[in-house]
Amino acid sequence: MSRNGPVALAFHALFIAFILAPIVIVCAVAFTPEGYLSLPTNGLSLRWFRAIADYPEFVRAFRDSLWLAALSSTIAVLFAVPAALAVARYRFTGREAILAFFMSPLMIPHVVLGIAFLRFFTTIGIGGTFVGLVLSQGTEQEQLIPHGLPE
Amino acid sequence: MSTAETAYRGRAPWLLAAPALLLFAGIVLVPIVMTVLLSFHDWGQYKGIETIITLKNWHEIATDSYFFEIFLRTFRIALLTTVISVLIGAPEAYILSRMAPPWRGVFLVIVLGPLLISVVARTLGWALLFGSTGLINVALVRLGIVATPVQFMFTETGVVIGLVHVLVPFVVISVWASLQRLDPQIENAAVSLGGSGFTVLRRIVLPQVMPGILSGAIVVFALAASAFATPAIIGGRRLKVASTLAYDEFLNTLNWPLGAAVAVLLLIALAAIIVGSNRFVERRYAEVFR
Repeated sequence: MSRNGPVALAFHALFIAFILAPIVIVCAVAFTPEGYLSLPTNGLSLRWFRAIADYPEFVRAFRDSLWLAALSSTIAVLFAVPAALAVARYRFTGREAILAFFMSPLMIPHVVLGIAFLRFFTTIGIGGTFVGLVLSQGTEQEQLIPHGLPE
Repeated sequence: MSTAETAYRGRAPWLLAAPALLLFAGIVLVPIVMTVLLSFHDWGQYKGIETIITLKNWHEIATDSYFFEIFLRTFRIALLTTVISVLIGAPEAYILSRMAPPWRGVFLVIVLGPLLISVVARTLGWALLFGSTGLINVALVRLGIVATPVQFMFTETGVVIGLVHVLVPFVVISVWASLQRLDPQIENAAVSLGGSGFTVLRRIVLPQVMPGILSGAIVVFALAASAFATPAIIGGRRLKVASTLAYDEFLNTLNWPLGAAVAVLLLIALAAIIVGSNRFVERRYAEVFR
């Protein structure tokens, strides 16, 4: 294995800086004591984290996000693991078609899926509800499962 | 006994797949079909959605240059994002593969880790860096590279930078995977036969990782053309792309049939491009997939 030259390492440093910059900046700004954006900041503060705790909407949004993640991934695993087993361990007519069908949401833009869900859920009366959100998230996550299973 | 077992084995995969198939049929297939139907319905400011079949929305999209411009912009941004992601992602994957073990692992995590962080959080970081008093502009002005702050927010440049940041890890993963399959002895053989470093890279390594580069590029293009969060945050409502346009028609103008037509057109265009380029890659590099 040959080593990387100085040009390669310089490129690498720039690449890593590019990847990390926005993430570092978001974290840094979260600790600013000011009420506006200023960098470099005058010291650190947990002011904005306290502010989150003071707003019930924020706390509720966090709680909802966690519930959404937990429920939808549970649904995705429950439905997808048997399906992945079927596709990975058995050879049967229609296997290719099933696989393509399960993978198709990868090709559908999320905004299109979201719009389709919105229309559908409004029609069947669960639009804007948590159940609808969980179902749609679950379906989107489901396609990720078959990747992990060895043939 | 044996016939019963064969019958069971024949049904087993279908039984296993049935719950997911039903869920998919109910929650993906039906809504998509409904969206396609919706795109043929009529809509009026006061009458709302009228369930008749009309080509009005499709005619509007086909004839109004406003829509043509937005779709053109969407695919221009996606193409630019793809080219830049490949140009910086592929060399980075190669550099990573040549690193010594402890560093290689660390940097692989740094490069791929952001995939686990929400796109919204990462794009907000760019919004902070992009402002006229943001770090990038302050640095550029102080270094004397530009006289006045560069406008990044609400521009295609800004959206492309944000999208490259979000999507370049996909190129790195894909090229990394094909580099792992490479036999290092072939590189050594080329060097021993007198090939210079650049020649080996161009004529030995590059052709072998080309399928990895192309499949990474297809993923990046598909995700860039359908991206929502990054264009919404950096482009705002002034710089619309197809996905933010569809969203706006649905939630602001409330013209659902027109929004559905935009969404369906995006879906069709994207599916055609992905299937077409997949075919090309598989045919051109058939020997690599064997």
